[in-house]
Amino acid sequence: MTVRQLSSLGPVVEERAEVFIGCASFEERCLGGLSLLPPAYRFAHSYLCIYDDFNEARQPNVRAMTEVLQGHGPLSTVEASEENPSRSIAELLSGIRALAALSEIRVTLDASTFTKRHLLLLLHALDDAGLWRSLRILYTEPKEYVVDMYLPMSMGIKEVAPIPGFTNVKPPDKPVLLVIMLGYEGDRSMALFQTIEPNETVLLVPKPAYRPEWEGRTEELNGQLVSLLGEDAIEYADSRDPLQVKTALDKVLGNRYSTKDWTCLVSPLGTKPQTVGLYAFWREKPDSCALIYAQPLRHNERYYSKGSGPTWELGI
Amino acid sequence: MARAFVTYSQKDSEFVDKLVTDLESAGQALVLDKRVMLPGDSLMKIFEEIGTVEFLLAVLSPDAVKSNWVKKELAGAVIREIEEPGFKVIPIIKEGCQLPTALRQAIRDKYQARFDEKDHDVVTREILEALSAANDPRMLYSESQGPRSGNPFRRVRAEYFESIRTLARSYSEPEAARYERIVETKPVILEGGRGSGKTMTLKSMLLQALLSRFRRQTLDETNISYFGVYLRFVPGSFATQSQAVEEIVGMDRCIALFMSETILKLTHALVEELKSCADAGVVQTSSSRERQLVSEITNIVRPSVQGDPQTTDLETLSRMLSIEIRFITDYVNRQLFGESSEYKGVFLRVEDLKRICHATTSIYLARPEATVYFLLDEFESLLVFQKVVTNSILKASESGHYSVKIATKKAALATSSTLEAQEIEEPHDYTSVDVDYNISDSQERQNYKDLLITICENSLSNEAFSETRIDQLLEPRLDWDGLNREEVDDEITSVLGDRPVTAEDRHRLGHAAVFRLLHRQRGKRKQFAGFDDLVTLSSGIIRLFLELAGLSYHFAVQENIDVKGGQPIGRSHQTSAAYALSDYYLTTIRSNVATVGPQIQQLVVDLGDIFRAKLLKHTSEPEGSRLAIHDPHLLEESASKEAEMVLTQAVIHSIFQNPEQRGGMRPKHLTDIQPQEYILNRVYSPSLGISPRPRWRTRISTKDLLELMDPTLRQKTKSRLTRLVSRSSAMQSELPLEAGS
Repeated sequence: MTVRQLSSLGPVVEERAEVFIGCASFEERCLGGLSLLPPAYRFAHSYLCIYDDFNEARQPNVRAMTEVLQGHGPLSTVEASEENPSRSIAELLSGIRALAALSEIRVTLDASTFTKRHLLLLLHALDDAGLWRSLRILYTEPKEYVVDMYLPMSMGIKEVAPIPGFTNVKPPDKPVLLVIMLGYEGDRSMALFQTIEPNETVLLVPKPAYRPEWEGRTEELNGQLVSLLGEDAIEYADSRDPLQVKTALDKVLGNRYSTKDWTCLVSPLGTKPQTVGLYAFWREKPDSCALIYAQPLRHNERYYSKGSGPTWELGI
Repeated sequence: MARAFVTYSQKDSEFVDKLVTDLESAGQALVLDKRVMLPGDSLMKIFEEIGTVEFLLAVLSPDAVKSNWVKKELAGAVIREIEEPGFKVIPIIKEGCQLPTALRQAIRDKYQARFDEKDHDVVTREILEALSAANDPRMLYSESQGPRSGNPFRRVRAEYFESIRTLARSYSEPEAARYERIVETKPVILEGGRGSGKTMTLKSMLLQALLSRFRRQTLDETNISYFGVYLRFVPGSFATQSQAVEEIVGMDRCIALFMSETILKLTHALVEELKSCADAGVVQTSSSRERQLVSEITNIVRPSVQGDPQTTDLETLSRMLSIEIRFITDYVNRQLFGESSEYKGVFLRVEDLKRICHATTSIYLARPEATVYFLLDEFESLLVFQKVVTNSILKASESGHYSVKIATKKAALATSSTLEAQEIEEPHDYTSVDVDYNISDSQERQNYKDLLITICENSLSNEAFSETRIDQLLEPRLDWDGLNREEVDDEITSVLGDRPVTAEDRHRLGHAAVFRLLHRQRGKRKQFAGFDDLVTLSSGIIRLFLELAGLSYHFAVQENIDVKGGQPIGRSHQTSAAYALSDYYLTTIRSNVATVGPQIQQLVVDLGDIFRAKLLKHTSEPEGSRLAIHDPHLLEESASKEAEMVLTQAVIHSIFQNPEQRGGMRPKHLTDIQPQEYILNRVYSPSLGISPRPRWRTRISTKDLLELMDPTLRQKTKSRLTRLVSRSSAMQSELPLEAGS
């Protein structure tokens, strides 16, 4: 197990300037990681990403995060477009570069409430800047996901699009293999499947789930797709351990399917730690697959996550 | 889609509004009196509306149980529930409601949604569960198409074939005239809806598929004059296939990079196909010819390194091409994250592609007269600037070294521009082939039927079915749906007035008369059975027919019918399949169509209501599901942008079909305006309760369309249009009777 539950955010041992990157959200758990900061903890600089669409439920959390982070060092807010976060990432990197030589920097990234697309791009950019080995990733689980079979967590799809920076190098001349890292949004995964119409599909189900009582939820909420493809299409990957996710992807895109015979697409609809695991896989095999994303038309915020659960440090 | 009527006391409006919002956000279709009633409408209209739904949600509160109107609606519904197995009443008990004893007795055995006992969200979910009923069309669809279904028609997509050989064995060519136009050297643009066989047709031009179909072992045994290379432009195929990259890298640079990346990927795919054919032994060449080709391509792609000693065969060439493509993706990635960098690769031009293809045919294949066919699937995935670049590649193919066969969804071409400011023009530059069959045309309908019979024969033979003729396997529908001809004649007489009914009258009005009689005999639904009915419902799209046949098989097998042994699939199974598939497609528009799915789904349901009113009331033109927008030039105006997008997306997804594609141009004179016509895909007919034969036009204006898409005006406009189309008037616009009807 390479994930560690945190009770307090201990100081970084190395004598390096520590940068904090977080994201303010309508989900309460965006405050989870910060609640573990001891009063004397100092960041060389904090960057708080805020998506540019107005969301009333997000405002109190923005204020609370700002207040906490200002107590731990200088803070910059970075406005990000959910659809195209690249510019905000460039702005953030430029700020980090101005702080110190990159070799002197350590980054604490709270991945909890970034969109998965944004998180992948951010990891890619930090990695390109040589900061992968200087990265500490935090993740706060929700206390509860309010889910059920009848009230969707998201409505419709806005688009199915590639994630820039994660495209295929190989020509798209082979049969298409689609790996869907399943979440709780059955309509979304089905729409993705219908749009791509792959020759083969692997459904990567988070297992073990965050909690024992949540086991089987993903399969149930994606019942239509599971029924259409059969249970043989299911593979499992840990819900919270990125390295085990990486191992699961190695097994699928290596052992079960040879990537040279397939045009491989992976879509991260599962948990955030799984998304980190996907990046850990991709950075080692960038020619193996393209990453695509089905963006929902809108989230049903009323039926999303509630509260803050435990906070973890994700081993990468 | 099952619909529910909500009956309630006006004093409970606040509670009802919240409930309605919750249920509709989960995709449930609801009918409310305040939405359907307009000033001056008869109160009987409410009972008519209740007659069209499958559920009645009765909100019971202290005020409601005192309301005579609620009591009347509830009493009528409880009686209907006893008479009709398909209709259900769901009592919704509001907090603090004491039910009168008689009412409590009447509903004591029923599921009750008890807001007085449980949490609001819990009860809302219970209601949705009750409304979803046992036969969720999405689960039925999945089960019938799943690997354990045994459904012989489940391979409805080219994607389901594991190898090019199995695909080739199952492929059935369209009629000769159509197929010859596709395989000739000239570039082709194949347009069609999902599941119309575009991918199958493209892949049929791959060398290994051709040899398999013609039962030959090698290229040398044939006089095949082309060499196919297939590419499917799925998302993620190109570094520049993203609006974000376009914004950050800049248009001119994106165009140059995409041109290079495309040429590199076409070349890479060509090399991979040559390798595959060589490995399979279908192309025989010498190592010296291989070396010569590799050298030619290396010099084009990497001109700075003449005679690269590392690149000597197709395998190393393939790796070298990957490195060149990596230069482009690395450059784009650095730009994305604000880093300055230099592009290390070469900017390639169309002339380079010509040289590569010429070298391939003349050196490697030793057939200088042959042409490389680039078979480009899912053209619709490209961004507009990428389509412009691809158009340039198509236009430059006249030299004959290569040709381009593009497959795309309808209305998704988006542009005919090229980089050279000369548009691609049909027929000069390419041939356009519509792969959807227009089943209103008798010859096309016959061709389509012949093709379906062959496809099904292949599938059924592969699965060792005793009966392989699909037209024999599907039990036909009864004349007049089993109603007496006298009943039908009486219904027609009631429309025509007091004169004898002629064969011509039956021909014109008989079909609508059946719908009206069945509508009055609640609980009886229109039958859809027999090869011809399923052909009609499939709207000329092969996949829809195979799905209808597959679901029919699924229902039959569930009742232990030995279809494999030759027992026919019954009418009731086919009818159930028609309704289930119709429900499935209607309910999934919302989630499957990007961005405007919810608007399209609402529009389809509203148009269905309007067409159904016309079917049931209009005396001379009842089957009016041919939508005609009589002022389509107004769709070009900025205020109509959303409506135009909705119509375009509906055509791309085959929800609307516009077989004639006329109209839409700004007229020089008002008298020149041609209406833009759309036919609602017939697969929705069972669910919407309308005729699948779009015989007459229903004319609406662009303004009507915009109002139907405006949530604040929608109900009012729908009611007005419904009243308007229900009025009988002199016949003005009869169209030829649908072929085969």
